[in-house]
Amino acid sequence: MLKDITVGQYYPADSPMHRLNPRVKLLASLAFLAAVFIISGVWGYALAVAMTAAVIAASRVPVPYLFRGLRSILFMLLFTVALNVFFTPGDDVVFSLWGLRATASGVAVAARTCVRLTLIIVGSSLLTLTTTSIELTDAIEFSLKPFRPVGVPAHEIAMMMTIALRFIPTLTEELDKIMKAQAARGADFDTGGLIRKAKSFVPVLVPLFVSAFRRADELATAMEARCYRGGVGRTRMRPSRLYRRDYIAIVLAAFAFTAMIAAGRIG
Amino acid sequence: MPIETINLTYKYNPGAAFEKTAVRGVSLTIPDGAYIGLVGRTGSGKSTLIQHFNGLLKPTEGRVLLDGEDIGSDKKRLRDARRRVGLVFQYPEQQLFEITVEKDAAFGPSNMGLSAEEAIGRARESLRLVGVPDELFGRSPFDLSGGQKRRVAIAGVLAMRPGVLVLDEPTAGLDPESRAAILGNIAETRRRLGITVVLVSHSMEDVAEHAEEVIVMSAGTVLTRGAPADVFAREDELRAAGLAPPLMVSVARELNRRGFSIPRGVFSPREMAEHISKELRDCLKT
Repeated sequence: MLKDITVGQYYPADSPMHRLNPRVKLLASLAFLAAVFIISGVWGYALAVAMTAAVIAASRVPVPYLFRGLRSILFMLLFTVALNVFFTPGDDVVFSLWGLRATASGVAVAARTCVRLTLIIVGSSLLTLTTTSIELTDAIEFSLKPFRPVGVPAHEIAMMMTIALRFIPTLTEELDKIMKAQAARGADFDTGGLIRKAKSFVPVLVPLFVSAFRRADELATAMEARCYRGGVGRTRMRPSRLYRRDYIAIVLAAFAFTAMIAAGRIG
Repeated sequence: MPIETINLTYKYNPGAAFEKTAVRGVSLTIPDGAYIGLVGRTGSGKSTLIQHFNGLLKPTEGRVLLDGEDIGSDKKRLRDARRRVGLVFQYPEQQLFEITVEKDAAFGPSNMGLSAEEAIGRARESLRLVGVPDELFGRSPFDLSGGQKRRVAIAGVLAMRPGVLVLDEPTAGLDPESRAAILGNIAETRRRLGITVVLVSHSMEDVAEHAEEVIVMSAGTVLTRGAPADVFAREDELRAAGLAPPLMVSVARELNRRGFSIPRGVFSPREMAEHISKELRDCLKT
């Protein structure tokens, strides 16, 4: 069950998407997220979906693997859809349920939100699935650099994010191990009411936190042993360079986003 | 309460790109009262196999019988299986969480529905059994030494009074003194309670010293099984499985090549020394 979390994970493969410059990928992803909020109309959405599909194909990440990550937000998705369907004001009632009236405009809004959320999740998963955490830090640091004069600690933020991403699989693995160990001692995680269930996680969370702190401590020591002292004067083993494929990607992305937004205006 | 696996196969991530068969077609029986050493290199499927013994993992194919009955997936039966087959994981001290040592060891029995006093009573009994001194019972488990922590964790499983105790690398990462002490405690516990013990280990020395029977796993299958003296005599087979026989077996082989006649099944330095000195004395006499 814990293996289902694919958000933030890296999927090793050799694909055009994996080879792209991480800075280009990050900025294109941000532009994509912005575009998803601007687009309107059936054609705009159709183009966005088609573009996402093309990127998925280019990334060589298996589709079932990609969508497994969506399962974890299914509840949020359904909740949003229900909220939109039943609480959008309008007179065009389609059907009613327990005194709640579903409006046609509500259904439309719900469909739009649903597609938008899915696109956002898939879009951002694609970034992390095709980019190693080291590459991602570089990209985050790069895009935060303009804000450094106003006191944004670009390097530190990037490093914190990398470490957090790096430890997601480690901690899920550990969580799985501890849950099994407590289950072997007769712990039961899925019966009883909410309070009992919450209580049943104490034997799991205490060891998990203990080990997370221990790991943090060890990591800090290991970083210091390698003379880490923040981003000042740090050089890179692999300096980020733009190749022809990156320029092509920039042009393609700019064209696609413009088309997405324009399609909404026309249709 | 014998454990039996029939054609047991387990795959991680079945159907996915990362599919990995950890155990393939294993059929074996763990008879009552046995002390079995389960050996194999890292990734040979030992840890995956033992997690089937108490129903933590469900076989992808095949069956696991406990006392002749399929463990299945019925909740009550699973709970019963977990009580009867005590499983001590690798580095079990990482699962300690309670405020005091005795409360932690009482976690298992209180999950079985015993009253608080009964659970604490059993916890104390088990803690003494594995050699945790009484004055530590009220201390925080996080303040103890590595060896003591591990004892507390083992006591936490023993407190459920299992008929079978399965230990995954119980001495990993401990100093030689704690290793010997913990293995001694386990042997003593087995003798007193008459339970079955399955010891998963990398250390051929530990297995040779304690186990009555050895099961060697390689690439998810059972390679061979038998008395330690017989299994460890098959050095080439062991080496092919990525294992090395106990040191004394290699010493005996080298000595025999040079004219000694050390019998099979000599695993301790003391026994070895006795054999050597006896042969030397006999030699001097003639």
